[in-house]
Amino acid sequence: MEPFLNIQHVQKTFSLSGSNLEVLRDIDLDIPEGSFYSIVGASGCGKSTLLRIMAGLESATEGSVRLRGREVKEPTLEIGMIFQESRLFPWLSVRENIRFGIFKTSPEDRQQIDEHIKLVGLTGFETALPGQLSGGMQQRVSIARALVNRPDVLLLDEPFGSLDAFTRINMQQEILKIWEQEKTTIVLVTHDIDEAVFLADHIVLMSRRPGTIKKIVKSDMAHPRKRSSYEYTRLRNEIYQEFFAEFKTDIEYSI
Amino acid sequence: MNKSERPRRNEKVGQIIDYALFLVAPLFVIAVWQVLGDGGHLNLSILPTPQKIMETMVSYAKSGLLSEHFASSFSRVGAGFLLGGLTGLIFGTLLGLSPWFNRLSAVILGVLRPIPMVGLVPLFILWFGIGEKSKILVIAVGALWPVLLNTEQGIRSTDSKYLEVARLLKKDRFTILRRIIFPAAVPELVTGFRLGLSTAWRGVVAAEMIGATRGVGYIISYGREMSLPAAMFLGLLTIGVVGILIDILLARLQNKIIKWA
Ligand SMILES: Nc1ncnc2c1ncn2[C@@H]1O[C@H](COP(=O)(O)OP(=O)(O)OP(=O)(O)O)[C@@H](O)[C@H]1O
Ligand SMILES: [Mg+2]
Repeated sequence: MEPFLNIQHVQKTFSLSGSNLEVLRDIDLDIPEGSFYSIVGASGCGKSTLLRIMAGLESATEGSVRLRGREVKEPTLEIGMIFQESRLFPWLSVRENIRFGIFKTSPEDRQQIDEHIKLVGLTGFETALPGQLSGGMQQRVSIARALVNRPDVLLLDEPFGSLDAFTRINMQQEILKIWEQEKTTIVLVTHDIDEAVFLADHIVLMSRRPGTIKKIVKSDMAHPRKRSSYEYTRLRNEIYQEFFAEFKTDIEYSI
Repeated sequence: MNKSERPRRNEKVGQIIDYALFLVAPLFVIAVWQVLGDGGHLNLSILPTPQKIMETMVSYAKSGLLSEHFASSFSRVGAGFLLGGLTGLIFGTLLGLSPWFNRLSAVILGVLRPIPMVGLVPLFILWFGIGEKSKILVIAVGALWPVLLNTEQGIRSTDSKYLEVARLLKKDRFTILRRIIFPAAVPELVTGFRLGLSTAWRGVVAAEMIGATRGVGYIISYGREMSLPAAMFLGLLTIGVVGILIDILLARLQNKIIKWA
């Protein structure tokens, strides 16, 4: 069978004022349809760059990203992306922001938009401006905007990074619900190891400078996951240790 | 209850004091001016008293001359502002969008920009005669620059993060311009038009030095020719007062338009 989302030997070098900076080296990933991948790694290891290449916003220096065998060279409606900042247009209402996500607007959009407003739990806020919403609500709108085209793949770059702990856990449950409901393939970049363990079925650990894939940890824990379960803590410890070894930091890890 | 009421009352009193403060200095100047004039300390043939200016204004107003002059100035400013503003908007947009166009026109614009409105009057008379056309063009040039420069700035400073969202959603250039670049530039556009209208209004004096027989600027030149200093003051004051009113009005409008900021 043809691979769904396939990253082959991706390498990325930025040239910064004459000198070259190798950010990604030899990235190979095979992401099956409907899976939930999470990419974790230290700041600056190239996670965002990798995601941007997958979205077609940036081109790889070498190698390629393919979706169902077709090379992704520029953005496509089949791949949606969400950033740390909601990037909503402050002059458009919630409804208009979501409508902006629709490629070819038509009179039947209304129902589609309403469905997505409901999906992210913002019914009643249709006419609000982004400035009148909390950070978490803004991010929900941006998720709705990305989903309204029904993309096959949703890329999320630290989408909850700027939210407080309560809102973040709330949003994690929300994204899980969406994933189960919409069957969208998700790739989530995060700093937060706990977030990755809670959500993903594959956790990609990246090393830095240049960023390479150090390890892919598989997790077949059923949802909803209990943060206190044995399996959960074992997996989290495994990942922490992976990074401790690299940084040679000597922190005692306890539950 | 008392506690919550007190500061509010104080606030109101404070507001009244604030507004009153605006008027203290102008009233003081007018009073001193009148007293000096009445006391014979001023050469009244070149500096009339406020009372005399007031009388002139009343007589102009009664005869309908004031509103007539005012109307013709206002329609010139309107036409010039529309022409200059629209030209500024179009060129500012092109300059903001295309680095290529920007380079191409940089030197020409750089040389034209420092030329003051009055400096163009003789040239426009030579080219277009002393009719309405010259007058409107002088005002248009005044309105052009603020609109052009602010539009360019606003268009160019679109947040690239918004443009990335549009790329991801496969929006075409026209949609990007209409739904992102222009709305994002609205604060700068409003500033540009606001400054443009003030400049246009200020330019009316220069414009009406071109053989006008009507207009607020004409009252000034007429006052000079007829040795009626009170008329000159009337013209100048009208321009000043209308200018500040336009500015206050547009500042209010600005806050209404940009409700997301
Ligand atoms: N457009 C660019 N030009 C030059 N260098 C860049 C560019 N974008 C990213 N880099 C560099 O590439 C490296 C990786 O950046 P990237 O944003 O992908 O890291 P990251 O893993 O997402 O970090 P963080 O967790 O802090 O978001 C950094 O050293 C950064 O300075
Ligand atoms: Mg990043």
